[in-house]
Amino acid sequence: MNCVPDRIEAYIDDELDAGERLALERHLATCAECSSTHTRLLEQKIAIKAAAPYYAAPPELRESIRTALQRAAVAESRPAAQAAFWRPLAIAASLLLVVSIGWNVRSLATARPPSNFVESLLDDHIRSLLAGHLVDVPSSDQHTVKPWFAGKLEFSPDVKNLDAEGFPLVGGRIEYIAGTRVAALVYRHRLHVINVFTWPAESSQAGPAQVSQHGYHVLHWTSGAMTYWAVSDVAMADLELLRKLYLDSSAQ
Amino acid sequence: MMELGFLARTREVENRVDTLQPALQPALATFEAVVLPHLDAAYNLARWLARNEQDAEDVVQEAYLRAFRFFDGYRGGDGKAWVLEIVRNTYRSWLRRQSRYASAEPFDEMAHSGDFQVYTQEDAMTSDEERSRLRSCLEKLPEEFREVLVLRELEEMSYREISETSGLAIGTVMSRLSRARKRLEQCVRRYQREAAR
Ligand SMILES: [Zn+2]
Repeated sequence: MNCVPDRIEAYIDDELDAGERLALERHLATCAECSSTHTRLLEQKIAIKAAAPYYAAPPELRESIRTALQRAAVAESRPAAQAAFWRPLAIAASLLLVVSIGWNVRSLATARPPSNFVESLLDDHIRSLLAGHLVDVPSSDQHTVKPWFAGKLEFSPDVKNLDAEGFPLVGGRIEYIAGTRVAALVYRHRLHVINVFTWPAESSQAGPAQVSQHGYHVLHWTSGAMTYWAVSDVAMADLELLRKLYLDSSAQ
Repeated sequence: MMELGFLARTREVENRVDTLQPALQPALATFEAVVLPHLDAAYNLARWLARNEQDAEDVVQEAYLRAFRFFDGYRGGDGKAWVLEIVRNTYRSWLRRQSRYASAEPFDEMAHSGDFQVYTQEDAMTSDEERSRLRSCLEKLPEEFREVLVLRELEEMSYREISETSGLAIGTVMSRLSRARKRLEQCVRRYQREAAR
């Protein structure tokens, strides 16, 4: 057996099967370097347990959660009383909470959970509607919206006016997604709002091309050096059309 | 015009929410039996992520209400990983609300890697001072690293459970854990060098 440092970590984390464990133990007995790595990792593990406090929940938190759960259960069993339950919270916040967690948990029933990334796109889309914070720069003119981003972002988003094609530009704002500041371009299509989040493409941001949940649709594409995520409650076909318009006008 | 469309859509969301929710009152006892036992783990994770008591309590309280409202989405299996996933997501969305327009560096796995340095038996941490150094290093680790270390070393979760909780691939869990350990060791050694001066 050769030196395989990552196996040593799997070993101290008790992640090896019996055969692998035996092979590694034999190797540790003959290899000074791996043996010292093993000792060091083990010592660190012991030191962490000795030094890092395990924070148990304070008793009053336990009590307040139980009380809140009782209230929630009563409210749930009497739909008419829901308003009373939600009154302490802003309606916007509660709806948001409900929709975003619905998204989370629904996914547990399916094969694999959506990335937190897609969830955060959806969160941001819904929040932009509920919080009344749709745009920082309200304008249907791409020559106003595009320069507005200059100096606020390290890149220049490709802003298109698609009014004639049925997607009037409403404006733009800065969003904060997966640790990055991105441009959110806001379009209207009939009575619906479409958020198009865009930033320089990175291979690490590859994701599903389209996701649909709770009547919301997310469509992803890249064009040139930019990546695009369109989020809306319009039909997926409308998002597809928007993508096509974007790609076509870029090709010209 | 947009307001009208928006209100209609809001009502649509509310209706959908209603149909999502069967009568939950009888579920309370089951929920408490499955989920309340993990309250310490939930608080421990939130406390290590938020690094203060008040924020940790807020996050856990919100996470438990979320978990309860959508308990019908729970399909059995590892209740702890399920609860911690919700705590983690609640924390993330709480954080987004806090720092909505704050600028932050995107997390870069590679930029945070580093090599182990050889150290000897004498360096082994024994004193209170050394323990407090290690604790402060752990608190200062980037959140992505702190999280996997807390789940692995304090919650003693397997790679698979950490993967379920975090939504990361198992390979990513392993490499992140490995980098976290290297970073922690580098930080401790830095302290030691400063103390020796
Ligand atoms: Zn070796």
